[in-house]
Amino acid sequence: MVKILHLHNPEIGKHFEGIRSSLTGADQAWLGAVREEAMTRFTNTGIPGPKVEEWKYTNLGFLANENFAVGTKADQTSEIKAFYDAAYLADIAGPVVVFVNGHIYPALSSYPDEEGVEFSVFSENTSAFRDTLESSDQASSLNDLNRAMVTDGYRLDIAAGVQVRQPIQIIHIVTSATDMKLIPVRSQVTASKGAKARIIETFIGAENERYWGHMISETTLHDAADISLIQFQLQGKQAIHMTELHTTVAEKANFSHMSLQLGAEISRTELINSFTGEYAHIDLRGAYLGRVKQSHDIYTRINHDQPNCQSNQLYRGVLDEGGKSAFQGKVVVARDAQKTNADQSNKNLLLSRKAEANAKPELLIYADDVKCSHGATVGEMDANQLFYLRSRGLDEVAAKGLLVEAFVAEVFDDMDDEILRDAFKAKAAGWLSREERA
Amino acid sequence: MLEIKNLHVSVGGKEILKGVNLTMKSGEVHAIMGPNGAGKSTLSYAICGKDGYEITEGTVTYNGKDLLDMEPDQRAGEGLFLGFQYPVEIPGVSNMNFLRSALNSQRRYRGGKDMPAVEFLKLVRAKAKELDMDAEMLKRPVNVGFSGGEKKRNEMVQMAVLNPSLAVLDETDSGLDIDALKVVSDGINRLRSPENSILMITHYQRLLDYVVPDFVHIMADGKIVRTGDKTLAIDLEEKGYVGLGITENAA
Amino acid sequence: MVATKEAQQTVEEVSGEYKYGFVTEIETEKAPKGLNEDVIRFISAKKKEPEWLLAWRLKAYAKWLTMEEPTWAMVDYPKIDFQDIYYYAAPKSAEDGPKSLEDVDPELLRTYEKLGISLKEQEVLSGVAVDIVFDSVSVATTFRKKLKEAGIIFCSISEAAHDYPEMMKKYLGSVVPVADNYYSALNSAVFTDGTFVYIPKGVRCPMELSTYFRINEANTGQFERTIIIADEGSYVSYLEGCTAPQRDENQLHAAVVELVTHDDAEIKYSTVQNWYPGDKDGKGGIYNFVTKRGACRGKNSKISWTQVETGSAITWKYPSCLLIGDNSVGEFYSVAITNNYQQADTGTKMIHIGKNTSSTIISKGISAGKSQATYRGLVKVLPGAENARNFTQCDSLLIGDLCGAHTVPYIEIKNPTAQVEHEATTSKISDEQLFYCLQRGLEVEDAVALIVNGFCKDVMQNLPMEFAVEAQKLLGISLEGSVG
Repeated sequence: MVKILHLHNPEIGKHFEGIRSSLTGADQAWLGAVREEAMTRFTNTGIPGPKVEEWKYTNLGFLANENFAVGTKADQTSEIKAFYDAAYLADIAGPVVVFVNGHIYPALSSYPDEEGVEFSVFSENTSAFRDTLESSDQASSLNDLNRAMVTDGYRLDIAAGVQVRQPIQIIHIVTSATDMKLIPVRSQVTASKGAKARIIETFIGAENERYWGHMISETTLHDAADISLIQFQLQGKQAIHMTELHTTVAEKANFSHMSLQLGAEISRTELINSFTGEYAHIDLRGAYLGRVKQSHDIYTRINHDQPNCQSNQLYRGVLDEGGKSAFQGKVVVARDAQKTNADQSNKNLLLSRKAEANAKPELLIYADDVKCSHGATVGEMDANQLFYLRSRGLDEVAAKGLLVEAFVAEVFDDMDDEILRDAFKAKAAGWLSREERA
Repeated sequence: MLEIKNLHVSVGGKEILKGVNLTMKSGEVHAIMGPNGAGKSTLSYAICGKDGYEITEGTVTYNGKDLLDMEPDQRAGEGLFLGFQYPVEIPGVSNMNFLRSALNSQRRYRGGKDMPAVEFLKLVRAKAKELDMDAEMLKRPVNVGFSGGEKKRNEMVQMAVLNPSLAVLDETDSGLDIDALKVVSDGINRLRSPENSILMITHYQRLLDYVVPDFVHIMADGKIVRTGDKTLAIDLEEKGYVGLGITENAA
Repeated sequence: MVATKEAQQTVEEVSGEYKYGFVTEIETEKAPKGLNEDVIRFISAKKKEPEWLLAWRLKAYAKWLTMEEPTWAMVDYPKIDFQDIYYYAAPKSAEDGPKSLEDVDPELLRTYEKLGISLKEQEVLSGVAVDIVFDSVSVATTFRKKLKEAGIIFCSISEAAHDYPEMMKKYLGSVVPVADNYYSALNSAVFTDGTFVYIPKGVRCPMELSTYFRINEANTGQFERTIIIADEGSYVSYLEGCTAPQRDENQLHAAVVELVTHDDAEIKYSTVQNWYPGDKDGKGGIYNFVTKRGACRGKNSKISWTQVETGSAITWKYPSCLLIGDNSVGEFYSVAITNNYQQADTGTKMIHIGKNTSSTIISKGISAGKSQATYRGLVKVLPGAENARNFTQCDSLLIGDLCGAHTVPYIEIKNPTAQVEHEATTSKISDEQLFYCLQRGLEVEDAVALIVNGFCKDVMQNLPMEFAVEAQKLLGISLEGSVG
């Protein structure tokens, strides 16, 4: 009884052969070799099936039968402008970089232009990505698929001591079209000693279109750097959305990641973090709201490889009719990582009979002088609170809305930036008021 | 008799005590006062042997035995009791069980036998009653969920049961209202006898209204800078440290 | 499945030929080393089992051959050579079976006395009925007569196979299916003895029932099987103690325990597991790979597992509850202590199926030395389980900086009316607590034992009195040499 762990879809390999000569940087030998090698590895390994522990709650079985063609450059349309307007936070002045169907879209982009900030785009400068593409440290099979097919992406380097004045907005748009799109993009962010920046990334796309957004991010924080990454996931409701973020955090550095998952049929957010220096801090938080066939999967891992570091995780899930979620949070405290302080909180609210929440908060601890804790809850709305609100005159919908809002508010309530906090609230409230039922 | 000679103590590489000399005879009650950071608590921890308090110079002997060579539990066996400024919570361990284990360990250290359960029960109940502690509190886990006053009262009950020959009380009076202060001073006075000596570390003169000391010492910057009788404390109350020519940060 | 069928046919073909011949050939008290169909036939013949049971065993064996050893647990050990184990060993005097305590080999009784479980003493003082499994054969069952008057069946599983075949057929493998996992399949093929308990309708068992397991023979796997049935409105408290002498080799223990509660019935199952953990260098010790599961089949029924695990080199054990009946209750209280090179991966599964079902999980893990302790648990609420409730508290305590403590909970909820709460903490004994105890005169080891006992209190208080005292002492003994 050998378990089938991985699934294979030979069409993906065939598609690769068909389009490889037209892929970004096809004239560069090193890139061709990277793509070839990654594709071979992907073909050999296959797509992780539900028997692979990490993929227990997201069944990718359909990928063995569905075919995706790599997204191509889009012409200027009003659709793109509409998505842009929905995603762009106009109140936050600053640079904005737009990708459409996985390709840079210069018409709406204005690159960061600041002393000590270097910004480049893969399709315009492939060699800036050579190091990261040639290193196969993070070679998961889906990472390899991305590496083989990658169409575009960005690289941001912040020089030592530079505090980037305005947040950088990145918007990923997928347009409606007949062919099924695979959108493989990458990003690479490096913050040198004492550098500080905030990046706001929004994923948005056509409502009634099947597409597969796949993003790999590699973020490096050097000593005392401070990076805040905020991700709004507003993909179309048939989309597959996957992000894989690898982050290393050096001495006294501060990394924070905040996400809001509202869209996509299947979303998977992987956050793989390691401490490379002492007295550093990682803060991961997010809210996921799901209904009607939606499935959100948050997978986090924090490797406490260094002493005296702190990590906090805070996730809230709201699942309505037909919604499904998983939070898998793994904290690993290595033998010498004394004085580690790690906590994790995951709470889920089920609003309907046909909703499902899964949690797997894992602590693996090999050092003794640590303070680690996790808490997870699943439940329905507090009947007493609901009654209290209604006795004060709120109708049921309003009362429930208020309680749900309060439930997720914990994630972004203490956010320093008021504009961003309001954006979070408005987007979450938009989901709550949408009257969609299966 | 407790004899401290030229005691130097460092914590985390920083010298806190810089040559303390103190002699206490049986039956004497001494009070140590001093501004914040003078090293009062450090002195109490060093006497009782807490980890991390490094003795760099000097000696501490008790009844002729070198205390510095002993583990904290051996010092307790010799008759030392430390009243903690912040008594520690031990979840799941009842006060009763804790006290019995402590008392019997000390008896065994002195070559005696365990106290029979019935006798022990009587003793604890009697002491709790004397100090006005609800018998129910004895069943509760050590200090868990106790108010500040209850914790200090619990320290006094423990002291009464263990009957130490030398009690070092580290700001046992801090943060207490007047009723709790009376309980604490009552506990100290009950221990007072020609055999037992008491070292009170305190910030305020008010405890000394209830427990009148034989000697008062003033500590500043890791040393005892002034010694007198109880009038020294009253002087201090009136004039303040500065008035007595002692600066808060003598360093 | 083809392989299974083939094996089955082979079994049927062969069974006629070897039915008698094999037994007479082997006059030793041990079956030959290793595992094959002949050994299974030997065991079955030794136990004079009915034909259906032999067929059941052989089917299980065929299934086992197709399975793979699980590797997902956080335990690490050299691959077990299943052909290097004796699957049956009986003490000499057991051939005819003792009728009463007087018939038991005095040597055996003396061994038990060393373990502090003198039968006579227990009989007289505590009123505990003991069914002792010495290696593979039940050597003495006390108090049976008194229990019989109440209609309670308390006998060895071999006797049950003879005397209560209908009940055995109905319940054997009904909670833990043969192919549930690798070790349950192995156990189903080779189980040698164990305990069968049936509490009739409305009967509250008048005494704590107890079995003391002990592995004596070197290289002997112990594969006992326990079945406890609590019929409507009945109650029983069952105690299981385990111990084994010191041996250099690793011995395998793969038991299966099945509990069933009908309407309004309750089973309280307590274990103090003190198998030989190996020496301080990690040599020897028991591999404890156990499948324990209870099915709350009736409404308002309850199953409560309490375990204190201090022994074994490796523990792989998840006493679980299937909460099928409406309003049924599952509980799991666990203390797992590992020291030196011990490894424990233990926890529970609470499967909420019926309405208004509730479960409580309290797990306390203590790791010292170079050991690894893992809590692994599943709380699952199925769509039909209205108003399910679960509360889980997992706390780990680390003593020393070379050990590990891990928490791997799975929470899977498919009904919105569920209220599920999980909390976990990991910490060490604080320096402040330790100093406080030392200052009051406690020695370091006593202070640690005291603090650890306090840490485990929520679990220990669920143990029956007789066990609680023993368990408390065990905590202290297990942690010897872990501090200082």
